[in-house]
Amino acid sequence: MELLVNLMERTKSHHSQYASSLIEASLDPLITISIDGKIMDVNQAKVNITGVERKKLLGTNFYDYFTEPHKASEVYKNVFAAGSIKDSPLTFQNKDGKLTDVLFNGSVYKGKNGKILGAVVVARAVSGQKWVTDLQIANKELAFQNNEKEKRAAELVIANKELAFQNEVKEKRAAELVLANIELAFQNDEKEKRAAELVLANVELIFQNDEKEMRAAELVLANKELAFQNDEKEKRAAELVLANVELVFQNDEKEKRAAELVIANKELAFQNDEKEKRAAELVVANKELAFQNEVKEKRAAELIVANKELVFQNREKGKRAAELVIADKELAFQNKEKDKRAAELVIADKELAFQNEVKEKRAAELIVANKELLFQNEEKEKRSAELVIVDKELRFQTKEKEKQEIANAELEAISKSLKLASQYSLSLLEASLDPLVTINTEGKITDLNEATVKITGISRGHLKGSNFFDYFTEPQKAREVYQKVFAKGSLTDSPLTLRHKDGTLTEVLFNGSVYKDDQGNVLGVVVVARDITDQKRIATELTEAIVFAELAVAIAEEAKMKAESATLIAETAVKAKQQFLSNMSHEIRTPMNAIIGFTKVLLKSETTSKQKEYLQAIKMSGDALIVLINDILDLAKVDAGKMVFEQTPFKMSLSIAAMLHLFEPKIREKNLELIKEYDYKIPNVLLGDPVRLHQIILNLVSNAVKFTNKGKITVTVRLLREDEKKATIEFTVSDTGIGISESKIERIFENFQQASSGTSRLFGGTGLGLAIVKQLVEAQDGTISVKSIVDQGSTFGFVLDFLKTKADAEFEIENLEIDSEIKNVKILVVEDIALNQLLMKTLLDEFGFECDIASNGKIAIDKLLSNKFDLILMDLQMPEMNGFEATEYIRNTMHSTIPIIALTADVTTVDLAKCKSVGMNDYIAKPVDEKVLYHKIISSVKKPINTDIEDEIEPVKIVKYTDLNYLIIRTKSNPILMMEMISLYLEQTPPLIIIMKQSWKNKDWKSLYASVHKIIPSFAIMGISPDFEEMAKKVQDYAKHQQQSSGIFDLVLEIENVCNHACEELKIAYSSIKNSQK
Amino acid sequence: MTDRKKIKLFLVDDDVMYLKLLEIEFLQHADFVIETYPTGELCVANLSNHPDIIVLDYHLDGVNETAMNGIETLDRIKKFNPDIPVIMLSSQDKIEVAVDCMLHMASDYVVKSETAFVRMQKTIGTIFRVKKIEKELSWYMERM
Repeated sequence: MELLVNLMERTKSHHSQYASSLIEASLDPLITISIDGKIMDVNQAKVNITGVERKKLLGTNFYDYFTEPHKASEVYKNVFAAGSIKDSPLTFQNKDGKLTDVLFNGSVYKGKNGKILGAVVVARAVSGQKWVTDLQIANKELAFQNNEKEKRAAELVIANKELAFQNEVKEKRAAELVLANIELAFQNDEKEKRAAELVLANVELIFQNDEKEMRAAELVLANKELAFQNDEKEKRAAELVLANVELVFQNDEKEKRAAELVIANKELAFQNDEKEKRAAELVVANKELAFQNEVKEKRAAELIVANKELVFQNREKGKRAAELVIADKELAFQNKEKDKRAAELVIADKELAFQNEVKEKRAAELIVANKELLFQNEEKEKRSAELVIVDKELRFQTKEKEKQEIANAELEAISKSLKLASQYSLSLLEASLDPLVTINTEGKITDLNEATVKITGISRGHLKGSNFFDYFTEPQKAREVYQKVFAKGSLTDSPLTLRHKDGTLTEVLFNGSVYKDDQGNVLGVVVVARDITDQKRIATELTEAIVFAELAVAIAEEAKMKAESATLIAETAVKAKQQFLSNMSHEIRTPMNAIIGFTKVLLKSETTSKQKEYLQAIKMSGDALIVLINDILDLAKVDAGKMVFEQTPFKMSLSIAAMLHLFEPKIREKNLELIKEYDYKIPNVLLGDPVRLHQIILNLVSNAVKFTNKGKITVTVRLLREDEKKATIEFTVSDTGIGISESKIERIFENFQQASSGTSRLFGGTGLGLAIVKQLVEAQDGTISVKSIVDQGSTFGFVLDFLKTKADAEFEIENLEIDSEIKNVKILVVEDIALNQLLMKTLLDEFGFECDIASNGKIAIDKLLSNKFDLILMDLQMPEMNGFEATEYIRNTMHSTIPIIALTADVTTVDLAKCKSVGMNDYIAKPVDEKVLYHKIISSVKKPINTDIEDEIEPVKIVKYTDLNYLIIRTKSNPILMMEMISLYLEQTPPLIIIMKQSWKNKDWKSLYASVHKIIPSFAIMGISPDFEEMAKKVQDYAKHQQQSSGIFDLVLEIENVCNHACEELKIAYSSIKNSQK
Repeated sequence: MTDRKKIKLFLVDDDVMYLKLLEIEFLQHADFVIETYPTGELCVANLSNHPDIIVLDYHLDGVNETAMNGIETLDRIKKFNPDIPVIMLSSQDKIEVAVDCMLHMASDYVVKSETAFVRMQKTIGTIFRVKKIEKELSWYMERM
């Protein structure tokens, strides 16, 4: 204050006025503050800013006028502390509340002793100034930051406290650290040791550093080098810079030039544009011109064309005009012509008119002329009539003359022709190629022709008068020839040989005849010779040919004969085969008969057991042999289709049992079991061929036994079906043997396929067994089947139908008791072989029958005449009179009905048929089975008039036309299917029959054929006899060949009859099936 | 394979008895679906039933002369579908008939006799075996 006051005073003194006014003029508030902060002086600005009067301001607290008094106090305290302050922001508060932001600059003022008297503070109002605002913001920020800092400071205080605490802790820790330092000192020692070591290491490192420095030096060199290079580069760069400058300059130049060129270009471009525009305009103009030209050309062309056209048209018009002129001329000409013509026509008309007149005149004249002519004609007719009369007269006269002339002419002609004839005959003679000679009675040649001259080579003059025979090789013969002519008057074809004078011989045939004069005196002979050299040659050849031909014929005939004989031989061979079989059967059976027969007889006599054994062996072998022969024969017979099956009543069960009995020893021997399963529903007595049935079963069982070594053989006989007429029986033979492989099963029924291995068999070792079985079964309309598994066994089965019968079995094998009632039977045995005679006698004696022997038929007949017999046993093949002849005689001549039983070793069908046809009652096959023999004898004797077995069967067969067996098999007895089939038959058949009859009547063969053709299959289906089928086939055949045959209609009727019967039967069958269904 | 479609068989014969008999035989011995027709016309009219095989009588126009004969029927069948196998059946054992049938693309020719049925069975078996082999062959050929 003092300072200020002093200042002011001094200013007052010196510049006091100026200073004080400066201070007063300052817009910034100027304040002097005492140390205790009291305001000592202020200027007007301060007064303005605070709004407080100067006087009031003085002596008040400086900070009282600020919004933040303590800050203000700090400010002035800072001033005192620091000596000065700059730009410290504060805010004045006006007494009316207005705030003014100011920046305070302050500095202390000291007294003369340097004692701080107070502070001068200058405040600059910043309110309203930008920077002031910024400062304010900054101040605010600072204030905020200060606050923050204060806070932070506070925090720091706390932190300091904390630090202090921590320091304490640290001091404690330091103490601890001292201890630790001591420890460390020790450790430092250690470390120093270590350091020493490290020093060594450092030395090492230093060395390494040196190395590195050397390396660094090198690098420095390298750097220098690089620096040099850099310098170089820089130089180069500088040069380049210069070059660049130059280039830049050049570029500038170029650019200038370019700019100039651009301008020039622009100018050119502009000029070009101009030119182009001009050119375009020219092009347009050209086009326009071109177009105009074209148009003009077109127009010109058109004009030319038009001109041409015009020219042409003009020409045409000219031509036309010319033509028209010509036409005009023509017309004119034509008109003229027409006029002329018209004129001519007029003239012509006139002419015509004139001519007509003339013609009329002429006509008139002609009429007159005609009249004249008519008159003249009349005149002429009159005249001609007169002339005719004259003519007749003349003709008569002429005829008379002609007659005379003809007679004259004839006479002349005759004389002429006579001359001509003689000339003609002469020339004929001369022309003849055959020599002609006339000979007189003395044999001299009187005349001859040219041919004679040629053939003899002697001139005519020489020949004439010479001897005829001189010119022949055999004159004597020639002489004889002509003498013969004289004698006989003529001669033909007498062969002679003429000799030419040069020696050539010519063979000729002479014909000659005498010629006589008018009185019949022989004048001479005319001889004609013919050259027959060629003829002779041909004849020779012909003869040769004939000879050859004859030879050939002979050879052919020979060949033919040979062929015929070969055929004959072949035929006889076939016959011989049959005969051989027959003979063999006879020749072998006959002795076998004796062997077996006597063995049997012997067996019945007293024998030791050993002997019996041997005898059994003989019998067995004999039986085997017989079976073999029978097999061969049977096969032959079946092959020939000649097997005939008997229809004999027999007991099935007994038959089977007896047959199986035969196998028992063999089966026992092989330790097999034989099981027989017999269905007792089978009717007791059936009609059939037990022998063949035996044969079939025998073969099957023997096979079974043969091929089975272990196990059993089962024979079953089962009734499959039975109806009123017949029973269908199935037989099976099963074994547990080796079986048959699949591949062989189809072949086993073939001949010789089951060839015997040679091992002994009970019977039938021919290998034909199964073949025979199959043939036998199928021949009886049966079926055979085989099932087999290898190593497990085979089963053979067959199904056969047997007719039922009310008749008792005629014989029973078991029943061999001799009927005492018929003991007194006298039998004649007709047998040529003594052995058999003896055998028969032995057998018959045994039966207790009386018997007589005859060695042949003749003796037998003699014996029959003198003795009475009940029965004849007749061998068939015998000397003198055989069995057939004898029987025929007995039946036809003696008219005896004595039963005759044939004894035959030959059981081929032919013989059996023959037996029956000659009237034998029965037959027995050799070797004779005593039981069979006995039964046949008994039955024959019991029923002296033996009914033919077939007669019994026939009615049974005929009654029934149909047989549903086939249908039953086919439908497996399914009644519905059977009914369907039957109804179809009933539906189909009657219309077919009608068509058949109708077509026959209409002779419509095609239709007949078709209908019969359709009927045929139904026969087999409905079991209608194949005979009728044959019949139908015959009709079909006739129809096919369209032959009328008298027999057809009968056949057609027969078929109709059969079909009608069949329909009736089937209707019944249908309803019975239907009923059974219900 | 067991439930495969049954083979459908057409039997054609104007002899209704024989036709029935054949049907019975086929039904008894083989597992077929059978349709029988007494005339060729009916057979042809029913070809849309897709038979697998046809047994056709040769002599179809026997009694009724206006009827279509076996060969005509065969031709119609083959025209409808040449792949249907047809077995011709005839009572005539004649080479000309057989050749005629074969020329008209019949699969086989069987004479009416006792063995006819067995033959047909065999033939049918063969036909199907051949068909199968052909099918296999074409299968393989396609993949070759």
